[in-house]
Amino acid sequence: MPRSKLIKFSPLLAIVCLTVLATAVVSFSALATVAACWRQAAAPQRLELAAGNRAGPRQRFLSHADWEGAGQLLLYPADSEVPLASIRDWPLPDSLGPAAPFYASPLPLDSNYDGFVDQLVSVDLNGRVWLTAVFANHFGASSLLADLTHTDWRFIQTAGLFDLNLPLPLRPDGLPARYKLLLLVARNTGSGEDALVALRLPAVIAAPALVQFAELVDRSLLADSEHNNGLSYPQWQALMQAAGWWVRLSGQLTQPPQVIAGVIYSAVASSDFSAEDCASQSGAHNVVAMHLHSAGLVYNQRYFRLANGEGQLKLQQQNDGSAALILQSADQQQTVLSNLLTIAPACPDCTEVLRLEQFPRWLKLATYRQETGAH
Amino acid sequence: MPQRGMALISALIFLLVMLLIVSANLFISQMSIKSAQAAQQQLLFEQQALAEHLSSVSAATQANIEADLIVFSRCPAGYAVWSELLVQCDVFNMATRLLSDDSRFAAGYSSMLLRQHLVAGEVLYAEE
Repeated sequence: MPRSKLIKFSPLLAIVCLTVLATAVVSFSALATVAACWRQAAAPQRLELAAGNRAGPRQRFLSHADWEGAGQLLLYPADSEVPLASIRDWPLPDSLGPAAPFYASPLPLDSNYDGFVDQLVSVDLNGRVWLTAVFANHFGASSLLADLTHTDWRFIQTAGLFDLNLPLPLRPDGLPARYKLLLLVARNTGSGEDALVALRLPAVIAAPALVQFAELVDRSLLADSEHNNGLSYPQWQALMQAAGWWVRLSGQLTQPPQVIAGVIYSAVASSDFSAEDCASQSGAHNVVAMHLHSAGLVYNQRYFRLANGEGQLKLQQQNDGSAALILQSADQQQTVLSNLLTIAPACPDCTEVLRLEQFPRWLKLATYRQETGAH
Repeated sequence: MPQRGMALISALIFLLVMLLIVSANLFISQMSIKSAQAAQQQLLFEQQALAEHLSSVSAATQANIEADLIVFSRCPAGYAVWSELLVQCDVFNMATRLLSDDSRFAAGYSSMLLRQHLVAGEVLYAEE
């Protein structure tokens, strides 16, 4: 090629080269900003699946390993390292395509109460939520339930899927009583702080409506009126009609969130972390407690100071039957909160003292006459 | 006087027939009382069977039986729910039967009971 022609096309060549470079940078930046410590080591999950015939349950192992930087699910038999089935192509809003890596473990679900897992809820790093049918030897169809993709947040953990039932006084008109709530942990790519994200899903998912991050209600800051007078009915109704809520925790989670009688408890480190480094045990720690349905106040505040971050948050039954939250480490126990409360269905922020001596709790579901013999 | 004897015999036959009708009526009415009592007895018997079933249900819930429980994979939907790690549910089917002394009546009742319990090891107990 003559030198003059090369000079003539050089601006065009430069534009093409720069575009390719920019595309590569943008596509890898999502992964490049994610620190290695964000991912927790995940062992394959054991699942009990229905075998179809009457041979009893089949034991399978579910793994969510990456495949060339994309998230995939693998189903293994109990006695072999050759997978029975895998999913690499996931339904996206407009087509089939690869998922971002799965940092969060998929949640197995028994949708028909027959004792066997038949569905999986999986969330990729970008916040796309899929529901997948699972059988003893293969995966069924997947459907995209939500696309929570946001430039600032990566979804690194699942914190449970809850079956909820709204009592009549708290149910807005026209809303079904039963729904599912999916709790996720998201991490900010800039600051490294965490957020709790709660996504409301219908009890029976037939034709999913694609939920976006912008549809979630931001409950990071509570208004003064809510601090003083509690959550009002109009606020509660707006929250129940929304697709879910999210709360910026102004810290990094150091304990897996657990739900005790309708209250979410976890611990956050408010110092010693950044987007590259995860929080250590030293530094300032808080316990966080919030309402499962509304992310509102259960106690007079949502954060309680912790002396240190060593150990594990545990529930303890006191001698008088009440409950306490303690931080248990190898050599000491520290009471974090005593007289734990349970949410009560009389009003949006009603609470009662939690009594653990009522367990085991019995509930009579039905009594029926046996129709045997002739009378 | 054959006509007089005939009239007497006819009267006697008439009286006999009337006696038969009246006694048959009496017999039938006694039967109806008996059958009415039988139905009532059966109702009472079933009520007794139900009462015994309910008392054995409450006895079973207080005794914290462990056998014959069917473990539920997840707890039913609720308002103040718990993490699966902390509270689990199982279902207990309880059946009782009652047979009357003369073996003429039998009644059976079944109950489906749900037990929510704290997972052992996940909840600590304060020292005395």
